[in-house]
This record gives sequence, structure tokens and C-alpha cells, in this order.
Amino acid sequence: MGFTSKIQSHYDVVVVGAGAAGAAYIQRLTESGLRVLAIEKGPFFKNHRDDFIENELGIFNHLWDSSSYEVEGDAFRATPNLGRAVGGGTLAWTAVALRFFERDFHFKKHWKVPAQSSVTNWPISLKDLDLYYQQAELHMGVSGTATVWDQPNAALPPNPALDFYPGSNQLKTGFDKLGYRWAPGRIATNSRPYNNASECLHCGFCRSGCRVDAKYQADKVLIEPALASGFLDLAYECTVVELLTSGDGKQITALRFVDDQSGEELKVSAEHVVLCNNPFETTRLLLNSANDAHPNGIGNKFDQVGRHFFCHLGVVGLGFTEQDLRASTGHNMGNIMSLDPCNQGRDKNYVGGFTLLSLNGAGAGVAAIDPLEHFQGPELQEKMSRFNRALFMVSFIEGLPAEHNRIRLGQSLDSYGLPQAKVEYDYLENDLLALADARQAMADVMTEAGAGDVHVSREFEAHPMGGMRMGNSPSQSATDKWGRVHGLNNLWVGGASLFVSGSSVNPTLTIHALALRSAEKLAKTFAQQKKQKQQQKKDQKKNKQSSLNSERAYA
Amino acid sequence: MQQPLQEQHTLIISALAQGLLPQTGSIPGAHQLPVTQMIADVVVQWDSGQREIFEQSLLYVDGLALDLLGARLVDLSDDQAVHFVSLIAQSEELSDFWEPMRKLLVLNYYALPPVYSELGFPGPSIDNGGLSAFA
Repeated sequence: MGFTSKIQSHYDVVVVGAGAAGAAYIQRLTESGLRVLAIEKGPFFKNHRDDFIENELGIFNHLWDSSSYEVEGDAFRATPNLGRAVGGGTLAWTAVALRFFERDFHFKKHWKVPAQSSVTNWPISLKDLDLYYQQAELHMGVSGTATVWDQPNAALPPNPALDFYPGSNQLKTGFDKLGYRWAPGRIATNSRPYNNASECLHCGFCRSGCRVDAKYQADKVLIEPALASGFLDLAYECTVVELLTSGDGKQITALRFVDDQSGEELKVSAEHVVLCNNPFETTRLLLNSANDAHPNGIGNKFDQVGRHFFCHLGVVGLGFTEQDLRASTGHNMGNIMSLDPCNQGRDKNYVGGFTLLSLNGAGAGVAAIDPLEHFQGPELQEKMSRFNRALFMVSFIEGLPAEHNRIRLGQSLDSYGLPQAKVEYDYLENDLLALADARQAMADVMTEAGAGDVHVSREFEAHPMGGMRMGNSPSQSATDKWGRVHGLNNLWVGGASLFVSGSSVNPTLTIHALALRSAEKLAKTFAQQKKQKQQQKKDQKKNKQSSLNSERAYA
Repeated sequence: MQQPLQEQHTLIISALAQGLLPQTGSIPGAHQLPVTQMIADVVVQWDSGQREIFEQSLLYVDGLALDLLGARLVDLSDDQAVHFVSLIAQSEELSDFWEPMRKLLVLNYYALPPVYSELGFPGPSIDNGGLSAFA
């Protein structure tokens, strides 16, 4: 285990998981003067330049292993790139930083909900997140320009757009011919030096961790300053194994966690607890912490914990051209994008849509695994030899939540004897209709852009979401509109598990903005509670004094 | 302490590597590079159940080569290894084995400098100031 300082027995707040959501919570809480302990399962890479490697395999040093989960259904293949390190998924992410659309928050108003899906409206609107999106973009140093998809008067990101790569210039033609509008992506990668970090050097290894911090990585931008402030203690390479509640079940009173190296068990209490694990692990921890007050798992009185799970469906395409496009260099995703198809279901036989984003950089393995999956031997080698002449794209397709798609506890046990998560996940008919449309659209764009040999992969599940969705009704959701678990006063959740619907844009900016908003609410709640406690103490003292005075007068 | 893979298993992995990623022109084949060892290093991290299934699957495909082509995998010629891999890649029955196996082979292979440099990938560049990716 690693400790950045001596662990205290009590904190104002304990944050479990120091990733994309946890870091945003930590920033806002420590800035408000709260004493915070963060507990992270993964390692702490303090020196990015030396700790990260420019190699496609480098990503595996900071990925969560989802392969140990039990699976029921056909949709889960353990492919999501979730983080396992201080900084979490922001070390491995490709830095696409897009806001959700207004319609995403009012799903039922905009779309007819397919029968199989449990998707509903969010308890908040885009307006509630606007300020926090702006703050998130400033933290991340997002690069980009005004686009046709922005809300009117939306603030521009802090950095100008990254220039187009040769492949992006080629893709413009394809988009134009098909009537898709395009723009430089909104990327949390510096197009110029920003916040004492370098501009992007186009090395091509975003997913392995940026050695010069040109890409937003939460440990550098938010966690290190919080540590320097003295308000944050950090325990890493530790596993939280249980949440303990008060007898009436309304409060989390303490957490038990284990040093993964030594096996030593620690217990710490807190006024508030925030769970920022990924959707599988947040659910697992709550279900594994069942007690007399919460016999079905903490916060699970209405059997909502773990339900309404969903993912984006991802597809990757490769289209070979005759030009040297230097596809193996550059920041990894979204140098050019079209968000027109995010609403494409409106004109088709499904609801929702998909993004179309360019890919660049060291993706030989990805190309061989996904779009070239059906090629072996000399044929595979021949195609791979033309990689630098290829257009390379990804699409994320909006998957929908369903009540029966859920995370539960399985039969197998982890190294601490606790049940592992079980993922029950099948795609809905709507998911597959949108997928087919996205695969065709991607192939069309690459073909119209001049590619003569086009391959689009089958789907993989990306960006897991839901399980702890927000809502106003405890019988239909697991958390309230602030991400606070229904039925508990001091247990909060951060991360994509809160999502009610997932849009088709990458989720990290929304995860960050939601966490900032909830953290602000938590800090205000804490301040009010502190004031009330102080007042109660004053009143008690006053009462004691006046009863003493009465006793004296009587004497 | 984790036991290393036995030679009979590593030889089968190497033969599958040869069939999936053979030497092509100046690009060395996966069996000529430390790809098998890289995979063996991953497999020893797996839990015992996962590893047992993997090892049994290796022996099963080895037996399959004998049934289909009349020789163990290690004894197949280059062309036969390519042919055998193309057969198991199409087998639905073997997809639980082949899909992760293929993934491990290609990820490790294309991450090796002798391979990616032949494909025209620049490799590490940050310590030399990075790259210009613009036309």
C-alpha cells in the first residue's frame, strides 16, 4: 500500500476511487476546506515521463481487469477500457471531451421509448450542468472550436482546435459528400501549452498515458494540487471491502479497507462517503455490504442497485487508400468528428444515434483485433503493411438501459473471499438497429473519402453506464438528483453508474461535470451540518449554564 | 509462486503464432520474436481455473492438427500452419479459445519494434521532441 501521509481515524469525507469522478470530487471538496481521504485500488504513477511508455502495450499498466466477472447474456466481452490507478480512466482515455445534448436529458420527450428499454428522463437538465461543463473544460484544457451542435451562447473551450491530420482532411470529403457536417473534435489535449503542461507532441500514444501531460490526466491536474493543499490524504493499492452503517441504516458510519500488499486491514469513519468506482464495483461494494438494516445490500430496498445497466456499442473501421496518411501518428481520437448522426434515429427505425470520430496513432493492435479480425496469415500481414495509408475511425452507438440488464453478485470470490460481480447484459433490438446504421454510415464515409478496401468491425461494449441511476423516485432509481443514495443521508455516488441515458458522445466530460455539481452540494450540506452542530453545542452550553444559574439562585 | 508454462504448451503457442503472423518480406514472423514468451508471462498471472482451460485448449487444438492435417502443430510446415490457423479461426466451437488467443498474439506482436518499424510506425518520439503529423 502507499500512503501519502498518516491515515487518520476520521475524515470529513472519504472518496472511494480516485479516477475521473473521484478526482473532480476531491478537487471541489478540498478547495472547500474539507479533510478528505481518497482510497484507490490501483497504483500512483508520480512521474509520468518515466512511468509511462510509448508503446501500444503501455495501456495495460493502468487498466481495470474486467475478465474475472461472471457473465450472462451475449453483450459483455470484458472490453471496456476502465482505469485502475490514481487518475483512473483518464490515464488510458483518448480525451474526447463532449457535452451531452439537451435532448439526452429529456429522453422520453424527444424519443418514443422502445418497449424493452427502461430509459427515462434525467432528474436534471443540461442547464443544471452548464456551469460545471465549463469548469470541467477549464480543468481539462479542452481544445476545440464553435460547432453547429453547440447550445446557443455556449462558452468556447479554453484552447483553440488541434489542426487536422492528413486523414482528417481526407475524411472531410467523405462527410461532405454524404451531407454530414464536421468539425475538429473537442479534445482534452493541449493544442498549446496550458496550465504548465506541454502542447500535444503527436507521438500517437495517448492510450498508454501521456508522458508530457498534454492530455488531461486527473492525477496531475486535480489530485496532486489537492495533496499539496494539505487537505487530502491518499491511500493507494488498497481495496475497500465493506461499508458499515448506523443501526437504523440511514448513515454510513465507517469503511473497512485492506492494504493489498500487506493484507493489513484498516477502518476509518467519515461524515460523508463518496463511491466513485466503476459501475461494476460500486454496485458490488454496496451489495457485498448487506447488513441487518440493509439485508439486500446498502441502498437496495427497492431492488434498484445494479439495474438499468447499459453501454455504448463501439465499432472501429479501417479503409485503405493510396496516400500516405501517417495514420500511426497523432492524438488518438476525434481529430475530426461528425455529431450529426447522434440524432440519426429520428429519420430511421430506431431511437438515438451514433458519433463518427477519426482515429490516429499507435493502433496497430486495435486494427488487427477489430476491423481486421477475419484476416489471418499473409493476408493480415499484407493489410497491416498498409496501415499508414488507412483511414481509421471509431463510432460510439447509443445503447439503452433495460431493467433486466444489471450487475449482481456472482458465485466466484475475489482474493478477499467476497463475491465477484456478475454482468447480465444483452443488447436490445434498438441497440442493434442503431449499430447496423452506424456500421453502414462509417463504411460509406470512408468509401466516399477515397478508401477502396473498407472493413468495419463487429461491435464491442464501451463506456459502461448505469447501475446507480439518478432519479426522483426510490422505486425507479438508486440515487437522487445529486447522486446521493436513496435512503441514506451521507452516501454519494460519482461516475457513469449515475447515468440515466448515455447519449452517443464519450462520457468523461459529463462524469466530471456531474461530480463537480454533486461535490458542491456535498460541501454545502457539510457546512450546514457543521453550523447546526456548532449551534447545538452553543445551545447545550447555554442550557447548562442557565440550569446552573437556576440551581444557584434556588440555593 | 506461479509455475511457468510447460514446453509442450509454449511450442503450440509458437506454432499458432507462426500460422497467424508468418514472416512476410522483411517483417519477421511472430514465432521468430519473443511473442510466445510475452504470452506465457501473461498466462502465468491468470487464476488456476482460467489457466487450466487455456492449457487444455492448447492440447485440444494440437490434437485437432493431428486429426486434420496428420501432424502435430510443431511439425507443420509454414504453409500448413497458416492453413490450420485459417481453419480454427472459422470454427465457432473454438471461438472462446481463439478470440483471446488471437488478441494476445497480435497485440504483443505489433507492439514489438522489429514489427512496427517495418510497418512505418515511428515508435517512441517524446524524448526527441515529438512528431509533426501534419501534411
